[in-house]
Amino acid sequence: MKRLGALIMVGFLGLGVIGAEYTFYIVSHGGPGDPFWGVVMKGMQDAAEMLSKGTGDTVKAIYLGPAIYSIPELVNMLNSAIAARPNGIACTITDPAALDEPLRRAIGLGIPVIAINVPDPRPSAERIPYLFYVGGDEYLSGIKAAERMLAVRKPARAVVFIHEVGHVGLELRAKGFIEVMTQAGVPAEKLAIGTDPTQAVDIIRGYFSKYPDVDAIFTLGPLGTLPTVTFLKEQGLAGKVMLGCFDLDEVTLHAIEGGVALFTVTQQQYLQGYLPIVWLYLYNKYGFLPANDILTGPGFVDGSNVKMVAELIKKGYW
Amino acid sequence: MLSSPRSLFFWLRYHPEFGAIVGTVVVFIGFSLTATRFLTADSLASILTVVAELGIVSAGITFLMICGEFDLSVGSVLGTSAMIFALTSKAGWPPFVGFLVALVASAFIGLLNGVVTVKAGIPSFITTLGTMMFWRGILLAVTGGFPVTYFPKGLPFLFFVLNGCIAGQFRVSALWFLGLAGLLNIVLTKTRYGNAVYATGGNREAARMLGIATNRVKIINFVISAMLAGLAGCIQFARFFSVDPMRGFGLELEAIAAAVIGGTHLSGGAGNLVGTIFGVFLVGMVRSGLVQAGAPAYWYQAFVGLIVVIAVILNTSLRRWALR
Amino acid sequence: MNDRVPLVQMINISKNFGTVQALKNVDFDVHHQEVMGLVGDNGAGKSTLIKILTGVFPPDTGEIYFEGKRVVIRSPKEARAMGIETVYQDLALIPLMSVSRNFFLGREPVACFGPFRFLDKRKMDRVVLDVLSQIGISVRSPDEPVAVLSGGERQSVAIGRALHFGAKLLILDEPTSALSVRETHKVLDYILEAKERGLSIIFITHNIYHVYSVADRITILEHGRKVVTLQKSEVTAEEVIEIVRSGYNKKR
Repeated sequence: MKRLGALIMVGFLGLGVIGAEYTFYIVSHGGPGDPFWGVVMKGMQDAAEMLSKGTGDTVKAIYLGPAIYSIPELVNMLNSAIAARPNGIACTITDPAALDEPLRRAIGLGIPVIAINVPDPRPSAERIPYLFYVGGDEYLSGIKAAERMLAVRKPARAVVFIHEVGHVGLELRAKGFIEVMTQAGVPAEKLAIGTDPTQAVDIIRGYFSKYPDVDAIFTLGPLGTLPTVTFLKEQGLAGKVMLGCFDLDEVTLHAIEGGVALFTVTQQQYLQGYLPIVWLYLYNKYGFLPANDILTGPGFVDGSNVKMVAELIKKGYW
Repeated sequence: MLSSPRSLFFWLRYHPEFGAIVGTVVVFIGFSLTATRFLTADSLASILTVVAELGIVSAGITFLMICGEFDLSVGSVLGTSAMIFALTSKAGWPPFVGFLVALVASAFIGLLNGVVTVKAGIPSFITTLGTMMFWRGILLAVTGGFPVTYFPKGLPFLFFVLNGCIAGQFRVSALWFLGLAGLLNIVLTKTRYGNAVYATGGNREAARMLGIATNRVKIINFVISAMLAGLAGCIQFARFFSVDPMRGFGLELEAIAAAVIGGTHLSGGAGNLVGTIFGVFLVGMVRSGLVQAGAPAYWYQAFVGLIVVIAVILNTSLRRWALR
Repeated sequence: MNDRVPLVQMINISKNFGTVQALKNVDFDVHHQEVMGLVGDNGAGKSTLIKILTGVFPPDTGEIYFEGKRVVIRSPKEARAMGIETVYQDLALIPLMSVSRNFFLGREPVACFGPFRFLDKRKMDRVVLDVLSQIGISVRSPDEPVAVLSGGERQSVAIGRALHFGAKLLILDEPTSALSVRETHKVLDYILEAKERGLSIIFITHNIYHVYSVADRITILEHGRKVVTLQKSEVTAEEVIEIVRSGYNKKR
């Protein structure tokens, strides 16, 4: 009898030592092979590990994303996540119409939902009622990028090279940039350059021959940065034309290190994996909620921190 | 030769590239008038650089189309080849070795395309649609989506041979293009093999009955098409030193459009490289000309599409008129 | 012309395709300088017999003798090399290619420039114009695509091609079926002329009247077997039609 009591006591104590278990899902449109999302995954895993070590609880985080961009696949994966009745889901609202029903269902089932990387752009009365959004702000990124350039000097003319016309994120970045430039009295517009670098350089060259006074360029990703950097070097304009880039890749980093580019905008996507896990844990355990969306971007990498960032990229943090 | 309108009529029958030549000249003159710096050396050199890379791919595809087959995988081959060249360069291999490996890999992909199409009897449109997706998928998987960048100290000699600058902004790639297109045209129009290519595309059964090894012709042409696409990929890398896994995506349709504008029949059996050269020039200079003429940026796609359709309609009408 | 050693002899030929017996124990021969009609209803085995003779596939049983010697024909190329040429209705010429290229397809004359061999276009054009004028066809240029020739002209060019390249046996598969009356007569005349110049011809058709007008002998096949071979002198066209329609009755 005493032994049984002792065993029961140990059992309860054990439960106290083991603590609670939390499972969180990140469901995103980004595939497991994409290096951008690789960083998000690392943030997610690091957060889960740190929480599990630091508290008495076990925190598990699982990443789901289709290998090839596909909204139907994304919805399927989301539904699997919901069926597992996790303690929280962080989801990219890549297609609000398609994700509306499953996410509302999840919320109805009492699963806390956070939006990451892509918010629902609809007004708050209409949009999916997720708790809050963790991610960059494309429009703000464009604004801040333009402000950074204007802080260096007011250019005679600015242009945004857009490599994928119609891509909502890119268009928003361009919009923010052009609005700020225009307000400052700088003529600014978009130029569609496409994704083939040889054709892009030719288009850029044609534009420059028409507007030789262009001295500020904003590219919206590595696909735009490569032809731009090549063009500037081949024409001897490197350093004379202000260049702001987007996202991190070797070419962009090299350009910043070499003084060809002033900065690159980053959305610090590590935080888009890390923070949702932390917040979902805090919300589940203590009911804490941030007052507003959490913006992980725009962040900037420029001459002042490029070396540090280059090292951290190798470790998977940037 | 062209002593009378009637002679023109007949001359047109033997020269399907006529429409492309006229179209290219007209568009060229048009841009020269509306875009002030279109006729400068810089501008022409830049257009020629675009034309060279597209043209190398288009030349290979033309050669294949004439024998009656398609290769939709050229974009993926270009990307794969460039990526191999990039990865080997980055790993420290001598550039020439990496280049050869890339070309051999391209030849292998072409061989696979050819053997599957011919032995399994599947339309090449389908086979190469499949391999286009397959190799693109491999490319994405192997690189993990990362672009691969190589920073050489100084320009390796092979890179110069492939795509170096000579005479201002003019590049060696133009010589590769014109040389290869010219060589293929000579083979096509002046050798026995060329006759076999036309026959295979014109009527495969008839050619086979007459003793032409049609399967061999097709497989060889698949290899040529893929190798030229692979070459173009390496040439491009030799200038940009960086390859992303989506490199070359969508290239196949432009290459085929240039060939068709140049008078190559979609169903095979007719066409030549001279037409393709002009077709590529037309497609290559449209974007550049539109930018320089100040057309609204978002209209390029629409204009390029419109020109392609008009060019093909003109060509087909000319052909029908000449055969009346 | 009946001779003791036929130009080609096919003895005891049988061919199966799965469960279908296309040919069973067929004996078939053609003499030198002879027009042999090969007739029979659909499914009789005519095209199978010809495909065996031209090397498209081998027979299951039987032997083939050409000019008295036993031969094994493994491909159309081998058949062609032996002197057996075929003119299939739509497969004789390639419409998009020029007359000149078509004429010499597979046997183009070449001129050498060092290690390179290029088509000898001048020779090709010269020969083609020569042959065409012999046949009686006029074209603006040998570069004209075959598509500009009429059906009858195309048949004649194909026959002229066989003659030029020294074919010994020419197989015509439905040469007159798509032609007008006038064109048919031109082609039939040319067939006789080809025979005068030493060519033997196998004439396959459904039109008994056409083949009857030029044939020396006629072989009738039915359901994979040879029904009979008749000399033109021993039978009328109507009688041949009757045999094809309802079978052969030896007592007449």
